[in-house]
Amino acid sequence: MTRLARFGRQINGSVASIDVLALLIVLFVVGWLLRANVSSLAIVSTGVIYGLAVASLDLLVGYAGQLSVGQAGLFAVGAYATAISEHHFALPLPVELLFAGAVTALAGLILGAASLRLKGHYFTLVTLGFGLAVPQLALNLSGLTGGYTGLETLPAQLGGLSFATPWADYNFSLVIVAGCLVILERLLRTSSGRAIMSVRDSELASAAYGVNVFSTKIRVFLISSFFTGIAGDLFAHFNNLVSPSSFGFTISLFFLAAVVVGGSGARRTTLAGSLVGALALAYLQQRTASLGGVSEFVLGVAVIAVALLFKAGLWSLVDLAGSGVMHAVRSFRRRGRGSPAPATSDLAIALPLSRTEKSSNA
Amino acid sequence: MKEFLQLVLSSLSFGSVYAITALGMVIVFKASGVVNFAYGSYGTLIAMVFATVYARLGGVLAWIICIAAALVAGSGSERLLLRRAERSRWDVPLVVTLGLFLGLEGLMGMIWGYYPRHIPQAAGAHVYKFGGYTTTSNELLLIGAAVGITVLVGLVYEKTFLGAGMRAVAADRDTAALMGIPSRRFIAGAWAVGIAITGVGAVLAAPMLGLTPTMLDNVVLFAFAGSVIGGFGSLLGCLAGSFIVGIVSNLTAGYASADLQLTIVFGLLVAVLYVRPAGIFGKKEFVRG
Repeated sequence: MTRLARFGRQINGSVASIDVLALLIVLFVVGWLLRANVSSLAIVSTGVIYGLAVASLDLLVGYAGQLSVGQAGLFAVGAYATAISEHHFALPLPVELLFAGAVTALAGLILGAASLRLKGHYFTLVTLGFGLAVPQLALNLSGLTGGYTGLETLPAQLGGLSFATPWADYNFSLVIVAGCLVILERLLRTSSGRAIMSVRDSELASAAYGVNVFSTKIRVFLISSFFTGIAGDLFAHFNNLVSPSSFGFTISLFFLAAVVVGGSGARRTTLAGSLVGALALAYLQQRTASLGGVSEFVLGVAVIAVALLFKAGLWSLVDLAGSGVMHAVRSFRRRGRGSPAPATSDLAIALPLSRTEKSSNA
Repeated sequence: MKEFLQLVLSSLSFGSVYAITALGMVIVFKASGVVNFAYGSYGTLIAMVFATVYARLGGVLAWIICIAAALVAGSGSERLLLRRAERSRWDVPLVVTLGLFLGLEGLMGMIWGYYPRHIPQAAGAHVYKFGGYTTTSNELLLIGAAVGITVLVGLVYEKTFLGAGMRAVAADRDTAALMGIPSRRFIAGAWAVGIAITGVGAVLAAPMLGLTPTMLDNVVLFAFAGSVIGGFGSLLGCLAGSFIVGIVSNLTAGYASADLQLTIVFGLLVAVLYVRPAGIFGKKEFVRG
């Protein structure tokens, strides 16, 4: 629970995914301001699309406690599913999105079945192997995937509407990502969501409370890879090309770095951190593309710093700034009405939070 | 058949590189319980230092400086970074080593660039032919180094007081400390030695692999796979598993495609983990508290 979300609860009585939505509205405005500048808009576009992939990874790493380093492999499956379906059987856009998600979920199921019985670094190792195997398979199955050169893709099209310009494609991505993130946020607040987090904190204790640990993990894998697949679909339309070089091992590490640097779910309960991490990643990648090694170096140092020292990540900074603005607005309105400040109890929120903080530190 | 045997013969040198890398990894894992994903980057860094010093000051100084650098880098990373994460959840140190991987690789890319750099062959470039099969002096040196270092480390572990202390720290760090073993110094020492071994392997293998910042990325994955297949934590398993992976990957490259090596090896890894989760030579793993 962050300050912004708490404020959201105060204004409408329910926790809307206000962090995520506020951020997406800001992104819409930023995109609108940048709409004439193609290269800047491309950064934000990439950031938003990566954002969904990173948030799905956060579900796995931060919320379910399964440290996966094969995310680029699943992202690639989604993108290839889109490109291949486009070349062989043209699907209407909503069906195509679901198809990419479903194919990726199937790949995630295979990966989950192969890896989830293993614990700790053995699990991480198998996901690593998966992340490496997918681009290699794409290189070798050239009849289906176009091999090294890859497959070209068309802009997304819905009925008579074509998202061909960068600005239109950006809006399309933003809407889909917003929808997916809201679904994910909602999911995390249901009993399944709490089961996921309890498995992370203690498998033994959650089993004792009647949570089926293995099926919960498999379910997380399915959900996470489904949304990763949708991100892959968006990427295919955005990039107009799906080739193995977009999904290398470094990208998997970059996604993980974005989860950690943005502020992972192990530290808070919002996916907005992932979005911030992904935007930072996209910015770095684009700006330092010609300078070999700089983005790796900066991300590496940032990951170490966040993991060891600054554990809450970048999102806490954004959150702090956002809540400052909210607070100013609120006190201004209160002064206008002349009514006393509502008495809020922080205890109910602070107590469970401090407990999870402790257990994730232990 | 002759092609098959030649492929197996030349895969032994790759197996040796994997074995030396895996050995360093296992030494660190045994002492500190941390799986270091940044292993290859450390090794490559040492090889880069070797190549740079060699070009200016010659071979003997290059060896001395690069081993000293490896010892400092190893114990320094443990003291400055990993030690801060030792009481955290198991995934925090892992994330730190992934960060180290990215950071070191980026640093090397910034300093030395991504084009292969020249590095001399430690044992010269003699080619030996016997019965139609060929091998080189560098390959023989690598195989010798892999077997030699494994035997040496095995002897230290089993026969010396130092090794007994290492095993005690691995079994239970706190109890070992109560028995008067300086656990922290042992762990930092294990990091230093582990990185140094990998560094030596990297310097020997660099002419064969081509010295770039990403030189050891795949090697580390193969070494990982090899040590897990053999049984993570067992020195003999580490050596055997690495040679198995070397042979399998070389045969894949020879008969199918070099692009499929990692896929095949990881398939093998998953299969072994299912049939024998502790690996071929591994004992059943104890849970670290």
